[in-house]
Amino acid sequence: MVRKLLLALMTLLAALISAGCWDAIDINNKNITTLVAVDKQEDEYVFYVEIPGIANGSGNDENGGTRYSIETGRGATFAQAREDLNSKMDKPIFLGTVRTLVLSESLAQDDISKYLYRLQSIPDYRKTVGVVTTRSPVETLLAVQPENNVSVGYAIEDTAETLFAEGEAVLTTTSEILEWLYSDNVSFIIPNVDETDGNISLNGYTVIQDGHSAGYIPAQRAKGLVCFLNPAAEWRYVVPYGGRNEATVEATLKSKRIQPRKTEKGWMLDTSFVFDAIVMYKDTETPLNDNALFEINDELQKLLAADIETAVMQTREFGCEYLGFDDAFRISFPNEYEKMDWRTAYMRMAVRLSVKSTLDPGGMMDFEQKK
Amino acid sequence: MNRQSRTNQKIIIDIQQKRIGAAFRSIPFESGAATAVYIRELTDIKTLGELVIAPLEAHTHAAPPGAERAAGIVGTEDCRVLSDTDSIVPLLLDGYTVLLLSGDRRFLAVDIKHVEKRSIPTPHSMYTMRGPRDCFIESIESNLSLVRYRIKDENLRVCNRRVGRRTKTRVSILYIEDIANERIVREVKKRISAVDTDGIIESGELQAFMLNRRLDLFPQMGIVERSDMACGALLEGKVVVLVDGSEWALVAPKVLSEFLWSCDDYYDNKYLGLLMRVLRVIALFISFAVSSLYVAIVSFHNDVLPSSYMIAIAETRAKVPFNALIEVLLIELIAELIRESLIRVPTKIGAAVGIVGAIIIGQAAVSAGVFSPLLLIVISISLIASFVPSDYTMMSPIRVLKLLLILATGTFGMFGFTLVCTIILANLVSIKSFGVPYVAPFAPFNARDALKSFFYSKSGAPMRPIFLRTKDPRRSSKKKQ
Repeated sequence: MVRKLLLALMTLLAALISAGCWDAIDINNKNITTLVAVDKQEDEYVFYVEIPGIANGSGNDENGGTRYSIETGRGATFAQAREDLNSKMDKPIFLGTVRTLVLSESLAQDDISKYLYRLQSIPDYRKTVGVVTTRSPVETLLAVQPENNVSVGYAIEDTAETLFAEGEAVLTTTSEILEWLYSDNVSFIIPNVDETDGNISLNGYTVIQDGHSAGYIPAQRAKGLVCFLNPAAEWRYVVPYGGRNEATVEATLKSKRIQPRKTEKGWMLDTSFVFDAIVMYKDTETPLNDNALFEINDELQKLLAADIETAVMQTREFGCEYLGFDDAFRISFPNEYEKMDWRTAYMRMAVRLSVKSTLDPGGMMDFEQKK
Repeated sequence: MNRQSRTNQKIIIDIQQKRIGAAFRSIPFESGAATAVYIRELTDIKTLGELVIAPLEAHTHAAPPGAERAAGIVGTEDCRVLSDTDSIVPLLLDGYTVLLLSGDRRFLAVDIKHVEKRSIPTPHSMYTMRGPRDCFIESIESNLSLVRYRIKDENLRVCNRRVGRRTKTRVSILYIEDIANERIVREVKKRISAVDTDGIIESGELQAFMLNRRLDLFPQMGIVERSDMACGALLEGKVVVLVDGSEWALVAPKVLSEFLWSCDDYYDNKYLGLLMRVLRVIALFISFAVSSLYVAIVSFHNDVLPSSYMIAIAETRAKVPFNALIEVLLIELIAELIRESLIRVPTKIGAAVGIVGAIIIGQAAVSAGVFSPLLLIVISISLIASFVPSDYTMMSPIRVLKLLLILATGTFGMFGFTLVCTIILANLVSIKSFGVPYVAPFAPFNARDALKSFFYSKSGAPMRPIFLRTKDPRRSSKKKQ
């Protein structure tokens, strides 16, 4: 009986120590944050947080939607900036609802790792929060009025996720970045969103090496990059054929394989891509016979190979590798990887590309037969 | 006056002195008399006249007959010759008519009982879309006849007991001898015999006496008001207990999962049955846990929800002056008030009370900012879900435990929620219903029974549940080829 009583008391004590009503803060007594932006302006850091107005229902706009406000905190250090921000807040900031973390280009050029390391010690912060950089002034980006009255944090997240789902973009989350920052010699990219004509648009990618910005890849030149980093990459190409005709073809990445191997001349990275392609639009005048299909497919493979090759060339240009070759190499040759300086070794490695595609005429009408 | 007449006179005086409301009717014979003693309220007077008095009067020209001969003269089926005069008063109280004969020291006990009873009604608690519409009433004879009508098996056993020193309530224990587990039958009989009380009015009282421990929260016997369900239980190998004066029969043993099955499960499409069973499990969880989870999420673990939901919840709570725990406790109190008042008030004004409670108070409370609209939705769903399980006796402990869970969650967050759930689970797995583990067939796990409890209709199942350990495990006569 005494043992049972002791057990019950211990359980209760454990409960009291582990959690308690003194820890409880009701959801409406917190400043729910949907976006955090960090900027470096001259010698001071600036925090921006986007907060929905929920108090007494007064935060709604004229359409009944939630009105979001931006609060800022400034300081010579992150701690001072945060203290400045806290001093302006009526309730504690809750970071568990952050949808997007925006890092300004100036912060990226300085050092993003200083801030991102901090995220590890914030238990509320979701590790799947999308991270973006911006080349627009942060105030300008946050002043955008997104469609459907959603917050800027949601708008950026939705834009990036939609493009990723459609195979046209790459996403980066805080957990991935933290993992990369912990690893030596690992470079990575962060999507860049800007304000364009009053809208939010994903315009390119910032290349990060050792916590600093090492370069910028505009979205128009990032097709090959997306093929490496988005397993469902999907692009459309206008392919000439038959001398004067054009067909628009949609190519979807089916599989990607990177196989490192050692040759007499050194390390070789055999990279093969397989695409499924379908004809979307074409001249109705000319039928797609076997020759035409072969010609289109051949031309498509060349275009895809050119884009993928551009992505590889960009890594050489920036002097860092972020296309996932390091993972493939480490898995195949763990001992060699441990011994080598990956960054230097990669620059000397040959990359052999193989691009194949299977073209579907698209199930369109057989004009030959119609004639 | 002979010696026996004097003895009978003394008996009559004794009965009169006891003031039990007995009536006396003397039938004079040539030498002596026969005296019918009965309680008017419990006796069918017309039958008494036609089948007892009139036949005896036809023989008044001779000496009063002996007991055996009188039994032959009396035209009733149940007519016993007895000699223990101490049993006369109990027999009278039980509705028997006692015939004292001056020519015999023995007497007759004639059963011409007449008790006011209602006709067989339709079920009012266990509705079903399909199935018989008759259900038990307060008369144990009527209830037995309903069971006998459906099960014409010579192995159907009916063991009678008297419970209650003062009420002497008749209790019938029913089981099918070549199916039911002997240990279970013995245990039921033992527990009924061990009941020590002055009176049992309703089967619920007997049910409380038959718990493993007096403070047990979960019911260990099921209740049925439908005779077809009672017959189904008998065919499954269970023991049914009928209590005179109660329209609810008790079923033993009953495991936790069976409290969630409805009478429709016996007759309906088995796929629909599966869907409904899953729905009832979900309903049980919702009614038990959803208000506590609301407290946990709103006060402690905000981050488990998507941000958009969090913003929506925060907006609905913006004007609420209470913290989530107080808010939930208050609204649970109001919900219980409405539920209790709806049970007590006449049906005709029940709807009005429901409208006042649910719409006017709810709407006004939200407008006044006392409660958040989301919580009203949560509590309404919880309340509706609590009516889904067919056996309401299971919902009583759930309602009690729900309050405990809300308090624990409001104090310790999900830790408190987990702690209380663990304690309840530990308690559930330690309970046995008449020797059968309460959470069978899931603990101890039996794949066939567990699957069957979800996938097959009970009546269509070829085998009886293994956990009942019946004498005859098969319902079908042979294996399917």
